Amino acid sequence: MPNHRRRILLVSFNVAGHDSLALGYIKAFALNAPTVARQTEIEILGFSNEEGNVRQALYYMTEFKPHLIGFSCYVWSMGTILELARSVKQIMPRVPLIAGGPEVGPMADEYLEEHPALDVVVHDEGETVFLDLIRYFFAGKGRLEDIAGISFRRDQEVVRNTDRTPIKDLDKIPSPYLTGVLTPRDGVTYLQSFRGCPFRCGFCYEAGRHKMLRFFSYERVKAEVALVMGDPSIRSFHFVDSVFNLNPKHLGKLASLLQKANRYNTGLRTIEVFTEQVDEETVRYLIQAGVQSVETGPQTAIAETQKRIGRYFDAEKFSRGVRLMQEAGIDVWCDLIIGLPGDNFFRCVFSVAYTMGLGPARIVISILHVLPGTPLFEKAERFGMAFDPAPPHYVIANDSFPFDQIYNAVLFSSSAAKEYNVALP
Amino acid sequence: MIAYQKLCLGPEGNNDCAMCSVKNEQKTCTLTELIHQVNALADPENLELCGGESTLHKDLLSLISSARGRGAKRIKLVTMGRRLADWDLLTELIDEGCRLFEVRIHGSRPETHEAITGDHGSFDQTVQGLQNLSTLSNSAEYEGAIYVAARVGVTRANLEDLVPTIALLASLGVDRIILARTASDLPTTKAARAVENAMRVAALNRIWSVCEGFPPCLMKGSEMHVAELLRPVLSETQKPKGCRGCTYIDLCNGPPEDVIAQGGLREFRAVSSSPYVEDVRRLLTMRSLHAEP
Repeated sequence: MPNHRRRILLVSFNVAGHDSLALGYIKAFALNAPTVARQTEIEILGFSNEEGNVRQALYYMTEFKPHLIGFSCYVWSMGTILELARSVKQIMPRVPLIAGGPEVGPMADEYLEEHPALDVVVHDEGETVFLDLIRYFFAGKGRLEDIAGISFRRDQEVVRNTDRTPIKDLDKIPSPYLTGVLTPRDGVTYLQSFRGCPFRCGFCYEAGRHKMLRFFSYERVKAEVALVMGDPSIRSFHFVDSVFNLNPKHLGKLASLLQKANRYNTGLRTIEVFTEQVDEETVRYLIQAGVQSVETGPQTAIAETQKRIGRYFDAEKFSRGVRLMQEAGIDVWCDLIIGLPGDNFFRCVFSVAYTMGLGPARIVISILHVLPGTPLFEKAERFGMAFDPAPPHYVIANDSFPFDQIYNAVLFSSSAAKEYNVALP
Repeated sequence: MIAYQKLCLGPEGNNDCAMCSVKNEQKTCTLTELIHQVNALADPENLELCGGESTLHKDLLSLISSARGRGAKRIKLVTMGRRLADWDLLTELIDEGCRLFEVRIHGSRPETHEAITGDHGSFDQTVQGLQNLSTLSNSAEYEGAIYVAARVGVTRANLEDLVPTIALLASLGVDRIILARTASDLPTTKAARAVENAMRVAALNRIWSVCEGFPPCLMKGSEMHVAELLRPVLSETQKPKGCRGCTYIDLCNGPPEDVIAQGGLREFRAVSSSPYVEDVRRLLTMRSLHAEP
């Protein structure tokens, strides 16, 4: 019997060793609609960004013969996705190509104007929007003009619709793990207890998004945790919450449900914490939750810079938080960003020295990406920010940090961090 | 940036370097003495093993093992690199827990290097040692787990060879290059320009480099590479009159003593202002830069 179901392909190029949780949510939400579940086949195709080959993906597409393709776009994968989209459009000109994700959302119209291969760009969260697009393309329901949260191409013109209010009740999005859309795997399983971030750090795309925090119910998180921790082959997994220790009440609840489900000594790794808020009680909860390692700032140790980028930083409280976690046996990874406005070469040296002085398990250095939709992107002119408008949007210079200093700061910091990180346990 | 606790293993060497400061009358420490020194350290996390030639100490592997047992996380070996040409010895050192190496090399070819080491054949062995480190660093087993710095003693004999030396070290994938003024017969300004040029070549090859023994007044425009400014200490040395009013006066040791003795102070000029000085002073507060006494 021929398969008349319409085929949808969701494509991502991920950082090596990672999967796309976002596409899992989109698929799970779409399949929750009975008609879509009956009449479509949705497949997630994830490549490693380092090794993923555009022609290999193209070959898969010619085999799968999709009727609709969605791309999950991040700063690290955009170049590859555009290359793939250009090729797909030539051999499958009638297949709508939809792009979404933090790289394209804030620049939806610009991406459509500059890349004719793309048909629709989603402004923000994709679950409800993508379901509407499936209904539009496959069932002819409604008009594109009426789908809030997208920009699209009509003839030669780019049309921008109004933004969409994000889903308030996150439990309306079925769990990709509980529905079998994603399979929990050791080290590559990501849970989420809430969306949004209470902070407004200038470099982070979360800062340009919704101020309101939205939570999954504890029952939902508990069920996911039970599934993941019930599998003895999973030694560790992640929570992708912007701040795991959001507040003592939330952390306490998470810690309790994680502890109860932890039958096989499963660990939580590289979760993000707000270190200034870490006290003895927080550490107790982190241990109770099975946290083995955390990732945190300071991004820079220069107070003026922190102020300029809208980030809260208290050197004393930060040091104390790191110390408390280390004393409890939690590995602390400290992140530094090179190229922030307010910093310069010697201030970077200071930040490296400050961070080394804390004795973290690892120092992670990165160059500032001026990401679309972030406060630094929006206020680029104010900070004299020069950066590549194309992804990965590396900073070139700013009003305090000329390019030659950024270049040397990268060389210095990379060398210093490597010297630090070769430490044996 | 990391503050290492130094352990001098003994004066024994396998080169005959003209500028070597190690005195022959110093005695070689026994393993027991060295372990005692490690045990006496309040925090033995970062150790630097030097000589003489550290790799000649017969109990080096036992010392490394013992230091690891005492909590040493980073053990740096300062060496001429000749014995690292021995693959078996090198892998034993690494497996025992020595992951950081500072190899001294003085030129890009035997004539330059050996003019300083005074020993025929030393260049090839040192380069082979660096090559072995590079091979291991790039192996799947040790990728990113070995750190190699190269220390180049800047003398009159290798001034013209500094850029080719940087090119050689770039091809060997070192992580950092230190260009250190080591001889007293150097034409100071000329040497500073040659070092500056060599550091530019290192940067073009994406290698971090620093210079030592060159006061900031000689390195205008290259202050970012002046080691003394990256880990500043308050200097109490008496400075010549010409240094008065210099913005770096308390952060710089002033002109080298041998230059003062030779009356070559004309080349040193007080720096009236610097965009960096405030940030360099901020570094003074950083304890991670300096080893406990």
